[in-house]
Amino acid sequence: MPSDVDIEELFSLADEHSVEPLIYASVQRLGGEAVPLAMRQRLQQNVRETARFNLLFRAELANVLRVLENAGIDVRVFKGPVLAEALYGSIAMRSFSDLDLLIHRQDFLRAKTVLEDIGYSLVSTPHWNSDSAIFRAPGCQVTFENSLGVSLDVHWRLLPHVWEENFETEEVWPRRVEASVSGLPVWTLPREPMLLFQCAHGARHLWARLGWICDVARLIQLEEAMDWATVFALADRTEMSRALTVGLALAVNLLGEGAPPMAMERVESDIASQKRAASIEARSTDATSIVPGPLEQALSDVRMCDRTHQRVQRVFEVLFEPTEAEFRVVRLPPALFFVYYAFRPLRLCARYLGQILAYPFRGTR
Amino acid sequence: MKSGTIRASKDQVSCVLDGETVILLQSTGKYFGLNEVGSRVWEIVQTPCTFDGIVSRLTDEFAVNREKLELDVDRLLLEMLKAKLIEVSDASAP
Repeated sequence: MPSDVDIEELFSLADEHSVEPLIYASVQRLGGEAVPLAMRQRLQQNVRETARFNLLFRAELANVLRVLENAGIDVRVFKGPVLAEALYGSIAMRSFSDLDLLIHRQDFLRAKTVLEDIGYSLVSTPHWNSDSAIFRAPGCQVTFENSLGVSLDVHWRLLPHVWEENFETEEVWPRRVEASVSGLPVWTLPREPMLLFQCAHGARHLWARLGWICDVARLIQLEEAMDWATVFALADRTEMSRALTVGLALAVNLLGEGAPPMAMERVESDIASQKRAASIEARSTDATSIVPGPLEQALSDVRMCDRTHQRVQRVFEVLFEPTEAEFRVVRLPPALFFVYYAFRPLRLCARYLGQILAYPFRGTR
Repeated sequence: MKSGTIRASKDQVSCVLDGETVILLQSTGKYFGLNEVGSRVWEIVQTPCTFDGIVSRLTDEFAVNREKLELDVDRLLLEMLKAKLIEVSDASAP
């Protein structure tokens, strides 16, 4: 390891990018004197803490799945612990901070009751204190939390509205795939929709975390039976080809020669996606904060859209579709929900006017 | 301990990290760690087994003196039992 590496900065970045367990695994493989002993020990301690934290979530996952199953609620578990075990061989080898569950929309209110009975409280802010208001939640998901600090994201849709409406109905629910989370059998997404979801998720967050790119890289590296024809057809049908190809480009750049040929071919045939991936990689080394600001994220979302109607829809959503930020400021009953479509742009103007006016004149880094 | 069927408690979750095992006992919220040999014992007791069965497997795998191994395994299992990580049922129970 170079002697001028800022160790504190390295640990800080590893934590922000959720790659500390991966760095630890690499250090263990290199062995011996690859890195200073103190650093190895600190990595080991941190990864042990991650393991303990993740085991707590794994224990809660079993409790949650049991009560939901008893209530007759079908669940798919995804992200976090599923990826940890499937991609890295152990729940200890991937950081995650919450549990993600997909349920049918029509089961949500029953699920909410069942979760509240075992000590979970809704921490998302709906626009009004009513069951119907919950279904207006941005991203079609809400968060519950219990007294142990276990956070549960319950989704009834996986993809944002700019993409396929029936993704879950046609691609996820009909096919049950079993996975294991430290011995706990769970139902999860089939591999092709999972790849698309991971790319959509990364795209929505500007691939701000290197760990998300590692997930896609590992997924395409391990899944020798990946049906690429299905992946590409699904991406075309859901009009998220750009998001998929950018995700693959980032993963292929990481894997180098080890990338699957079909993924490499796809990337090589799409210069625009390669350029987008390059700008994302440049951002990750230049950005002072990995979390994108709302304007940066909105522009990225628009660039990730395949079609003009998606770009228009996304711009509309960014400017007018209310979020929890608006709900926290003022809570309006369902009959007055339309007021949010005026309130949001006013709130954004008040907050970001200076940045918006300066944006065209911002120099390149 | 040397008679009876030994099995891992249902009240725990565990994971392997770099050859070692981290265990969470759910009822108490306490964490336990096992080294490489302890992890191997833990792996064996995930399915019901006997003391002799555990020792025989470890003797083959680690090529160590059986007598000493019996003492070490007995001590480890007693600690696991005390910590409620394992259960020991009657020899006649299925």
